[in-house]
Amino acid sequence: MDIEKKLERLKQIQVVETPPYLLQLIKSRIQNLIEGKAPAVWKYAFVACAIIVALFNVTLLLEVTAEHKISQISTVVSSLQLSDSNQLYND
Amino acid sequence: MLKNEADFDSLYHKYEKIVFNLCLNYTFDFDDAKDITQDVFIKIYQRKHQYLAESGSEKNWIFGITINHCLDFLKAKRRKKRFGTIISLFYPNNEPINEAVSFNHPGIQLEQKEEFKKLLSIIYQLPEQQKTAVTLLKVEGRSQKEVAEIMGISVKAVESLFQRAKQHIKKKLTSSEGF
Repeated sequence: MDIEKKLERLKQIQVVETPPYLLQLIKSRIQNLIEGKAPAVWKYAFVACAIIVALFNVTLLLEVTAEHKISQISTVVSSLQLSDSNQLYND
Repeated sequence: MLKNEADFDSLYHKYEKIVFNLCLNYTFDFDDAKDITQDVFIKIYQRKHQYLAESGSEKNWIFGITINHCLDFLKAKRRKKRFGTIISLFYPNNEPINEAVSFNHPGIQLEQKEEFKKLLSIIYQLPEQQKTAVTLLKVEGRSQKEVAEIMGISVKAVESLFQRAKQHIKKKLTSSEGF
């Protein structure tokens, strides 16, 4: 069994013509890509909006956390009937 | 490269046959080759600015894009088949998944079909680089130097890949013919 000869026979595979409508299909797909592309200004605007929303959320979260801490402390103070005055030992 | 639509048209007409036939020789399927050819030319259009004339010939650049696309397509197809096999384990009533290579190559004469089908199925299952070397050398009829330039490796490496592919094919053919 000569593999080389068998492989050489593969050169007999004929060249096939490309379907004539293929170029049109490619062009319409390229056109769709171009039309579907958002302008650069829109992209920048979207990114800026996303950053603003993210910053707003982070600020809100930090504020809520700080308020929560204060309310926890005041709960402890009131439950133990402690005075929240700084002059506790001066009386 | 590709300053306007006329440029793209002339580039398409220059390389359409090469790209389409290379896709056919990788997939052995007319419809798959059509789809990959479209993707290849769209990629060429998108990457037109990345091509530098100094970095090599335009033809080799297009060959590279085509080969990578074909290999990616075959990988995706294999993944899909594997996934289909797993699904069929859970749903045994579904139609069985066809694991064989779909063979719809119009460039192969009817009387040669059976002979080539066996050989091409083995080539289809070779490792990627070996498959590329055999396809370009034996099916496309390119010289070792050309193949080396397209694959970005040395002529010696091409020769070595081809020798390994030949051994692999011989082994598979021998076992299938029961010698």
